[in-house]
Amino acid sequence: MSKLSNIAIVGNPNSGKSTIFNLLTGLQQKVGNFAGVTVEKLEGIFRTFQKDKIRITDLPGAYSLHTTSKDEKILSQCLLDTNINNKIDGIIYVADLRYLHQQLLLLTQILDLNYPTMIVLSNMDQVDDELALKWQKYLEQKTNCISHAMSSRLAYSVIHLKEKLNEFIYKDHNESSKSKIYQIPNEFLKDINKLKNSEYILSDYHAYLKIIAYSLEVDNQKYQLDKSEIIPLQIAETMSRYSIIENWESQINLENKNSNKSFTHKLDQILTHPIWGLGIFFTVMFLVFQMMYSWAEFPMTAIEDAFAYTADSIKKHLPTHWISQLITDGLIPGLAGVMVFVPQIVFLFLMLTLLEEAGYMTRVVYLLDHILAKFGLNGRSIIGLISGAACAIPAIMSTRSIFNRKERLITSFVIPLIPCSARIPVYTALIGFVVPHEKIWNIFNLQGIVFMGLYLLGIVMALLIALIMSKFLSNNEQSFLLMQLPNYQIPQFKLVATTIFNKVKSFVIEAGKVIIVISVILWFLSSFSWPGEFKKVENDLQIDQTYLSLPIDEKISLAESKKLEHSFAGKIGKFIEPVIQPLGFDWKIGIALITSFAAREVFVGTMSTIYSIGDNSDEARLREVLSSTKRSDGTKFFNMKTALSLILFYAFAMQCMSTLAIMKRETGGWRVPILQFLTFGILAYLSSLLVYQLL
Amino acid sequence: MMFREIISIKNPEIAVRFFTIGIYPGKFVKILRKAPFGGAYYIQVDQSYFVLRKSEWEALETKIVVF
Repeated sequence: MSKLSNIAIVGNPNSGKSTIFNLLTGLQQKVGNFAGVTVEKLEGIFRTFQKDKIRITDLPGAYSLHTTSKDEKILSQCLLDTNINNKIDGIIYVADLRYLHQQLLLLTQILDLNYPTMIVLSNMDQVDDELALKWQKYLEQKTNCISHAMSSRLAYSVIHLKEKLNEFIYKDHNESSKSKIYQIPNEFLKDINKLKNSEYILSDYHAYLKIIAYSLEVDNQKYQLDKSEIIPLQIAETMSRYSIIENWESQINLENKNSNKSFTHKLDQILTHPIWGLGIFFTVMFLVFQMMYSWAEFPMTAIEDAFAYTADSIKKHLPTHWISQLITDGLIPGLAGVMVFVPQIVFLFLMLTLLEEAGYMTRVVYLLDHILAKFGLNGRSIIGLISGAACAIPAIMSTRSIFNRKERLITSFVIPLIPCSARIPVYTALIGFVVPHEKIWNIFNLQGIVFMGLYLLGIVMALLIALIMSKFLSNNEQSFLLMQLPNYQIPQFKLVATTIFNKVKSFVIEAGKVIIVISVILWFLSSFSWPGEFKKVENDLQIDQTYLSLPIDEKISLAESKKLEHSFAGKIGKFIEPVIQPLGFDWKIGIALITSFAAREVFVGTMSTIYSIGDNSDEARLREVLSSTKRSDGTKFFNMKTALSLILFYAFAMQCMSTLAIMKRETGGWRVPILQFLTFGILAYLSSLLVYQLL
Repeated sequence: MMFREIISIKNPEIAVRFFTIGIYPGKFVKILRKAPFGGAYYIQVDQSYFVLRKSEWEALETKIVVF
């Protein structure tokens, strides 16, 4: 018995497609990329009742097979190309019952392609039951396809969906040849028949779309259609399809009474109000960040402590060998460096996903589109820019929802300038040198204000770089805002949970593999040196009277600090000292700059080791030690100038290897990440130089 | 209630986009509000809400209809 084995989910962008995909595949999902473009390709497995494994792919949402943007073309490419391996052999078409008028358009095209199709009508609980069931029956008769009206909020409705899908998979699809919906212009019939002889073609309409697609290829000889000829053809087809849909609607002849439209209308009068709207947005964002920082504080400390504890207990139980050190000083801190950010990412994405699912984020896109467009960005860029405040990695991945390539590139390029949470420990340690811990007018914490200023600086610099980039990059793709606003709705817990789980998973994997590799390399550089060097350091210490008079704890710390100085990392630090000296940095800071490539927050740990503070390091203790350090001429080493210069360096420099690796993957090459590294590096160097030399 | 009826869409490339999203000649549209600082438009088409840029709105050729 033949069965379908590779089913694609197709539908408009806001049709509830992803919900259906999640219901069918659970957490067994794999994120990949479509060849050559950075649109997420989600694949999962559905198990039939006969225990067969069926591959399900969530294709990108589109309104029509005639698309304008390059990324939206993936849908038509996947459906038209019948020569590739693993080709799609069945389609689940998802349409939202609330917006059937637009969402049936693509369905009529899919049906004309002649794939075995199952129709799922989503959001049944948002419309009249009678309307939903009437449509289900009508479409089943009209199209000969298995149809299912459902609501993902109702458990039995989901079970029915799986039953019907099971039936669909094992059904004999050869018998059910469907009648065509759209009448293709007669002048194409000759070409269509010719193409049918040379290629595997599913239907006349399939051939027709291929002829149009071939015509747009640059060096095509066979078909001589011009773009100006194709657009009228597409418009004529769309109009004809809409008149068929209007005919269907007139036969259903039922208005949807059960709608929360008036609620949406009323809420939008406030939330998208020209004045209140922006005010509410900034308040919401302020609350989101307040919650993120306050909720994440406890789990972050807990994670740090847990890793430190594990490293300590392993140290006690394992013999002193370089392998144990690799584990306790290389691998575990590396892993901790990744895991410590998970709470913040979870909380930020929890709140952003809730806002997105409730329908609020599209309103934000509407409010900010014009302002962001002035800087070469897009309304949708705002989601990436906000996420960047937690971590640049998920933020850069979120820019995939921006259709226009130029705007997407600019957004992901500037995201690392938004202060991410890894910079906070660095700023906390240094900010005390710049401004005293005082309050002005007894209300405002002066350090808090400077902290805010650093965020503002990051945002301003991101917009500035975006503006410059938009002037230099050419744009050959039209940029659109035009989109439908979904009605407000209560977010579904399961969908929110799956989204967050997948975001965190990809962060832990993507950032994790880079950070762990870098941590191990840095561990090697700071634990080893040329043969015999460490021996010499030890011998020197044994005859040093001040060292011998120290208590045992301080002895260990000083010995470690001396070792680090003579390690490969120390040598690199001294090697780059002449370059960073004009910024007010010495080789010790040089080492910290290098180790920060694993992740910026490593700065605190490295500085603690160099200044032999010992294991129980925190920002406050580090600040204490730093403030007592003196230069050779007796002046204080860590004054306001040095600290400010260092803060600016951390604000701008592209020190995060994981971000560079993600940029490489998203842009498909090293060109953009290298450019990013150089641009931000020069920016950091120059601003630090300026501050240190002029102040 | 005052609406505008779409007569035609001037720019063919934008037209394809409008058509696929369900906005085409014969549909009634109405601007409900505008975003601050000369920003995007919030419009109603039939029973649905859409947002678009000023330049996209200007591609629509409309006439006033009073119900």
